[in-house]
Amino acid sequence: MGQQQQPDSLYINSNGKASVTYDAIVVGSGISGGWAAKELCEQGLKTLLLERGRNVEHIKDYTTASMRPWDFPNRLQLTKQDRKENPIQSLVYTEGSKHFFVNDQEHPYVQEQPFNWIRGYQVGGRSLTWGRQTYRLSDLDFEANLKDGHGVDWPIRYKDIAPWYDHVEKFVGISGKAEGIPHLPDSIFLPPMEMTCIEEHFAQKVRTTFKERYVINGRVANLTKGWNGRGPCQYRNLCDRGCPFSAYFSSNAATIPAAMATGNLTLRPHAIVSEVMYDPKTKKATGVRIIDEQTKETSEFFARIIFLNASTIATTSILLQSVSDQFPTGLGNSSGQVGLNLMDHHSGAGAGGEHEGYKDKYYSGRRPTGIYVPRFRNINQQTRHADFLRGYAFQADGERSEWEDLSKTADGFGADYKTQLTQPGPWTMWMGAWGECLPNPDNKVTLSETKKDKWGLPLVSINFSFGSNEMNMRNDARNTASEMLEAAGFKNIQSFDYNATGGTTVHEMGTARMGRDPKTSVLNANNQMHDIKNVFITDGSCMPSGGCQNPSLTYMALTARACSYAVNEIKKNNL
Amino acid sequence: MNRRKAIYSIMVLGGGAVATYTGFKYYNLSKEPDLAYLQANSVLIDELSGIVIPTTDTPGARDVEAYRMIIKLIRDCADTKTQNNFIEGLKDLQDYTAGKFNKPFPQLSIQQKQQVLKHFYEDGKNFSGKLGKARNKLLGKSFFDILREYTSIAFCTSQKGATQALTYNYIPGNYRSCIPLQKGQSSWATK
Repeated sequence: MGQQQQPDSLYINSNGKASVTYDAIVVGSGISGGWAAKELCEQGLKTLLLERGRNVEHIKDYTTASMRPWDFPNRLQLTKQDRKENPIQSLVYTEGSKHFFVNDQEHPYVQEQPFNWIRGYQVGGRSLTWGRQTYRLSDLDFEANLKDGHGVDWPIRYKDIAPWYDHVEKFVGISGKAEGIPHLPDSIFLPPMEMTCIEEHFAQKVRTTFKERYVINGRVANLTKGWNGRGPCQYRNLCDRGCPFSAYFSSNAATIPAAMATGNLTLRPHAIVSEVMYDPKTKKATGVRIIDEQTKETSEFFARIIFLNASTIATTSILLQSVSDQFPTGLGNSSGQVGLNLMDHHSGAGAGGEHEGYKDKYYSGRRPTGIYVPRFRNINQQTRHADFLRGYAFQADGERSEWEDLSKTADGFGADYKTQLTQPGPWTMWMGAWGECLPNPDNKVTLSETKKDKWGLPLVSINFSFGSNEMNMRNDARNTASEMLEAAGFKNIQSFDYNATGGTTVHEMGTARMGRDPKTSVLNANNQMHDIKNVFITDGSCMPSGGCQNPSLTYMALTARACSYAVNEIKKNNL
Repeated sequence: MNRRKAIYSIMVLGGGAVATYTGFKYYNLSKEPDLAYLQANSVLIDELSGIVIPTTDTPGARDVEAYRMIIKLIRDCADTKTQNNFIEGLKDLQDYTAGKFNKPFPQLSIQQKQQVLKHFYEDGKNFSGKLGKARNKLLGKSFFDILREYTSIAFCTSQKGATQALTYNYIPGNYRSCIPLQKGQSSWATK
């Protein structure tokens, strides 16, 4: 990213409108914004990519990526100060990755109910620290709202998005194995990351005991072979520090360099978008107003089309901040739906156990994924569950206990303890459910009427809680995890349900949903605002429902699809 | 009966006593810990770490000066309860040693040092099981558990500990999911 235009050159001529006019503006450089920039630039559009945080140059700014445990002052333990000053972000960061997360003190928000809003304000956003699990949605998901009446019907079906899954997967590079499971469609795969001995054992036992349950290799955006000039994975499992081998997908490693290579991209860090400007005469957005994060100076940028990819809650707050006579409650909010139906996946319910076998087996290398049990509840009439709608999938991991666990569970002290501590302990399996959250208009994002941040912008206020459907699902997940472990001969099985706070899964979705009817949705089938044709939203906020799959792949596919549509509309002079 | 045993006795007596005692104890555990006490007792912590993880055919905790990191991690990373439990435990241990051997800990023979630590290991064990879980949640981990856990972290994340007692692979380069474990093979230093 070394060749990007210096921000200064944008200012010097900013008194002349032409100098700050682009074909397209993309707000946010995370996983979906990076894709918007790449697709639009490659289609020949001069594109301005705005990012509210600092620049993070690929590799150069991965300052902890090559550090060994003893190079860290606190040996990768969180400090008391971390927990006190960053009570939210420190739930997920480590000493190795904390520089990719915001400071809670600098970026407050209002929690009407507890909600962990995890953020990474920098070029690349949370694509630097994401979990990289990549699963397609299927018509089981796209038809869910229509069938059970929660939320509004998706305006698209699997056939509409399938070619775009193909399109992004060919660029991203996803390791996994084709299974032919109808409700978890196969991606285009690089070779899978294989299962450990205990996982193989578990997979076979589950497959033979439970007809409708599969255990598959985790599908992950890590490269098992060289791909588009990136990778392959070196099996260090230090992804959240940024990868010096470019072996996992991030905006920094993949989409931004591709966009930059076209010569059409201008990247502008430190640009906090305060509003999208609207012209009632043309009924179009004209551009965006920004506040410089460092100088607090405002500037305006203009473009023919605008893509909002600031991440679900941030995009929503930009819409709510963009008020005008035509849109007194927020840009493109004639439906009143902007900010409603906030979703997250619920996670952290499941079970774990120990296995006495395979004591003579081990592994080498650190695999940056685990295994996956695709959803098996409510996929057809036979698998209907009386207590809840929709379902959950398990992410699981089978490994041998090592010193971090053994330092708590081994016996005694002295030479015997040291031997236990430094040799592989029993095989263990951990499995946790990632579950769907029903769209519910009571779960919402609004703006505080009284509190402002240090740039004078209203604080985001979040009111969210999981409902009984999610709680019932969690109970079921504890039981099904336990019964699968039991079937596979595990001992000391303990089920758990340790964190039901919204936001913790970092899969916020739904606050500017797509839909068929402009009266009940914000975006149409092409992620275009019903009210304002030249504004597109393709981050998590567009999701009418969330499935139970990790959602980033779907954002990428929807983004590429919307970009293609937008470029065609420009060519047809409709935008 | 030492102070720890007294706690246990009170806890098993019944509701009222537990509530009264734990209320007092909780207040006590939440007090501002005297962190200077850690550095002042670095020799003792060094000695203790060597009993927990001794030098064998591979380096032990003292070879990596684990005490420096134990002190740093307890000071900067441990929560207030853990800090207070550890500091109070160091005091208990010195009381116990003086009462039993009439000498400071560093001057004891290896066997005597092991005997002292065994006492605190057994003492901590009294709080395992269901009651122990409730106690741990309320009152924090036992002194022994804290000592052992932080000694282990300091040791296993040190260069010598990770590369000589454990096996550290900086850049594995490939992944082999299921391979024979060699006899005596140490485990991986990092996940």
